[in-house]
Amino acid sequence: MGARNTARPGWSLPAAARGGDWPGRPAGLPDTRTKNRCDTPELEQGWMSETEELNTAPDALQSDEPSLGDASGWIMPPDGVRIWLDDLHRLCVSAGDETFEGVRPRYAFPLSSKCDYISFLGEEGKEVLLLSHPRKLDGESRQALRTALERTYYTAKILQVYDIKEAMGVAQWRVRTNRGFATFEIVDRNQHIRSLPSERYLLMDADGNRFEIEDLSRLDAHSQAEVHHET
Amino acid sequence: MPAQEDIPGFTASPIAGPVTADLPDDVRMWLSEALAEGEAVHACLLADILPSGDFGERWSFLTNRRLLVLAPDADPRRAQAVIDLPLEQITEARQEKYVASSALIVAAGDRGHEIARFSLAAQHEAADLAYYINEIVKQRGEGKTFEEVQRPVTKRPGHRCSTCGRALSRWSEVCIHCVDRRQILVRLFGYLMPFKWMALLGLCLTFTITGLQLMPPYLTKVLIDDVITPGNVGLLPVVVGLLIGVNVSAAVISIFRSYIMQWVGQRVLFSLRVKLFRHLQLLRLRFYTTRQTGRIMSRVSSDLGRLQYFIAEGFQEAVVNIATMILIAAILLGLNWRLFLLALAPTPIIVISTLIFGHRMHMMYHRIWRRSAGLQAILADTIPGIRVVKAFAQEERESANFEKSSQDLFRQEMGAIKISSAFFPFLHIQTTLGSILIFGIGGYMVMNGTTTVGTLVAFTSYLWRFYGPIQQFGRMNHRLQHCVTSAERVFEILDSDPEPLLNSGKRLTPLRGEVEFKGVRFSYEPGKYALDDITFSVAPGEMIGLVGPSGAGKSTLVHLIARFFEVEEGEILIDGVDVLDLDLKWFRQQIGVVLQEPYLFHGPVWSNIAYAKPGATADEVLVAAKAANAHEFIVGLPDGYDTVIGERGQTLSGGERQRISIARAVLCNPKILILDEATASVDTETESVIQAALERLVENRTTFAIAHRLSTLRKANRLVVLERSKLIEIGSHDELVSKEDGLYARLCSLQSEMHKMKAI
Repeated sequence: MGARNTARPGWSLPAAARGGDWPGRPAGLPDTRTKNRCDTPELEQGWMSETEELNTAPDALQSDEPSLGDASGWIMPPDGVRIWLDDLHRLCVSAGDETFEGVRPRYAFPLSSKCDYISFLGEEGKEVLLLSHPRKLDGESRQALRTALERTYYTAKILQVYDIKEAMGVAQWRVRTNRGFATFEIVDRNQHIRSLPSERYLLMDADGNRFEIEDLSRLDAHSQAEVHHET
Repeated sequence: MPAQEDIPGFTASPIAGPVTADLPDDVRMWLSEALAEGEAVHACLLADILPSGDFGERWSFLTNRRLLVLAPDADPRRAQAVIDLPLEQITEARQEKYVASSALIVAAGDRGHEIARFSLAAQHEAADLAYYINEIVKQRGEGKTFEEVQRPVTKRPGHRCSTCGRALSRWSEVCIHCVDRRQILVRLFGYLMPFKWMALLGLCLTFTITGLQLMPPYLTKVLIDDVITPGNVGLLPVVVGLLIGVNVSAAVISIFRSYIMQWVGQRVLFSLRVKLFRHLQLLRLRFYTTRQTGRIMSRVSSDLGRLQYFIAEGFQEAVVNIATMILIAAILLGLNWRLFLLALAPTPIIVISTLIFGHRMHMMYHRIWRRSAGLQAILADTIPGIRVVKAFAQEERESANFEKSSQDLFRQEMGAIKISSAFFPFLHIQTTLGSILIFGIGGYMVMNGTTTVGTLVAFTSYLWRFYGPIQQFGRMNHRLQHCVTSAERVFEILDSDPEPLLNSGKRLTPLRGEVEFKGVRFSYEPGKYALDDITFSVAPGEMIGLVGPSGAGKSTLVHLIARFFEVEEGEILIDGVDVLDLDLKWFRQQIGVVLQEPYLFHGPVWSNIAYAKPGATADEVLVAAKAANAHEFIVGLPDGYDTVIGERGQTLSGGERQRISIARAVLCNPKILILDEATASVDTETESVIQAALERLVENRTTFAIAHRLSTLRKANRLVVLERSKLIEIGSHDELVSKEDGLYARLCSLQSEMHKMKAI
């Protein structure tokens, strides 16, 4: 690490950003500031397919069997819902006669079927609207929501793991992501490396920043070995 | 991770402004071009995510004139201003917190500008920058100048090393990169010093045993070459006697040596254990709130055990191994230097393979340990929840879960077994091949007459003893690492700042019980105030009800009074004296605390009541129990006041435990009383009994009572309403209820509606 970097705060990501100063960075790797950009992040992948949507329809409500109750009126269908970013960079949502400004979108199931239900939280963290099937929103709303969600769930995808060095329970990962090179620290493997189905891993660094390995089996053999050693 | 001591946030000294001194050279260069004459930087923020979402850097500077954002150009010597907002146009700053990143938005007129997007590493600096900007805007409205606004000082987050900024391990406050490992070992031996003579005696005995154990091969040589071969019958009993004597002496001395070293180890362990526990008692509450109890306990047990091994055995093992190796090398050299050089051939392979094996096994065992811990977690989850499992008929699923984890553990265990099964035979074959080589060449030498049979036998015998310490050294490194790690963990506790319990401070006699909060601010984590600018005063004997939603800061407020934590800004005055200036031990004795979940210790009822006053008389215990409405149920217990309360008082009901804890608070006759949700977890009938006890208890004592059920605060003289870390209302019940749009009035009306519903 160059001397200049030692004066920067929160250096795990900034260090990566200033690619040239990155310690032990393999020679010839591309400059982060211009490459490795992912223009269509996780949202498209997470958007549910029609088949999956059908599976979530509550058929039981039609029968004589005891039901969970009527979700209409609480879970808002996309018809008539409008979402936009105002001039003050606030996300706004309107449904019927009501408009909510400065809301925060949250996936109800961010890791499983992330795009099925989206909750909008107001200032005090109270839900103001629970939206279903956001894929059916109008184009403008969908774009605004996608931008907001992309920010909310900002997670760099790991494409290559150079090495993982552990000292006294703190593992330092040096990786290449779709956002650039990064060095980050994981302080508790048990809590901060979450293994998900299909060789998917979600990692949280010492500061709470998130990284994801979408499919470990698709990474190179060295990266796989490093991750297997660590998990 | 780099050093953060010169974070360019808010912590530097002025050159062209209060923060520029610590900026990197290129950024200073950009600034020198961008700043106007007389313009000074007062705060800055490095953002590490570009608007596109890629990692990159942007610098935001708050000067006495504007908010300037610079982005590096393709030419690193240059940067371009991407945002340039005059201060007078700024109306608000806010931090948008996302799941794993954040952004700073500044409003100027009707437009919002995203000043910075950053990872969570920079969120504290950003929070303070937002706070600073908002203060400037607010105080500008009050006619104050920029310079009059106080800059907040960003605290370094507790999970990073205060020296180098690297992340600290979950269970450690010590940064392994900043700690001198040699110093740790030196310090460790410091604990051996009180027993140095015994340790020295043990060492001498160890050397004696080693020396004795080196003799048999030589005596064997003498037996073969000088007794058996020439048929010297007269010398036979002498040599055999010597062989017996040497082996018996070694065994007898071993007994003494083992006892002495165990004694030394246990003594060191004893003194460290006692010192550690005593220190744990004195540590600040913050130490415990940031760590898992199990991990702290493991330091007192397993970490100390490792230290004991090293002090008693490990160190001596190392010294003896070195000495043995040198001695045997000298003997082998003396016996036959050619064979000795030959014997060294497998040594590098043994050393290297032992090191590699040690490292691999270390990794494997870590993985096994993690899986094993996972299995334990499943057990800890499922067994206590067995009723739920059965109620929802999920036995099969839980069994399948357990089987899956068990299989994973099995695979890892087998991986380790595969390596260790292969390694030891591999090592054995190395040393055996070395010996066979020696036998081959040595045998040829015997036949040539260049050496004797006795020398060859002695040589091979010594050779086995030579390879042993070499192998042990490979393992010793691993053990040493473990020991240093354990020592660090133990010393971390011993080095953590204790509360100033033993320091002298002021004692106010008599204590009247007046409490005053003056601009108190406190945060558990930087950038997020748990209490923000709290100011109010309480008269002696007054009862204050603390009201507000969860997370408003009520418990934090009472914790600050009891000085479980210390205020960051402002002060708390007790009878006009800063709480920090008081004798802490004395002050805590003046405070009685009744918590929502009363904690009782294993032991008789009476000792739990007398916990705060160990010398209390039976009369005092009875009076306290009576006042707490606890006496009747206690005498109804089979052993009355001598009934042993199980671990954490689990043999009693919640209401009974609470009444004992109230009796405990009554007995110490506190001047200041803290009731933290004292009746929250009991049924209505029990509540009325406890409430009656509390009403007696609060008389003539300054009382702070937290309660969600507002009816329990009906006796409070005044109510302090907190919301989102701020004091928003203060006054009597009648005063606050009359404020129609007030939070207290709203809460009251909600609760009365609920009561009505319950009544229906």
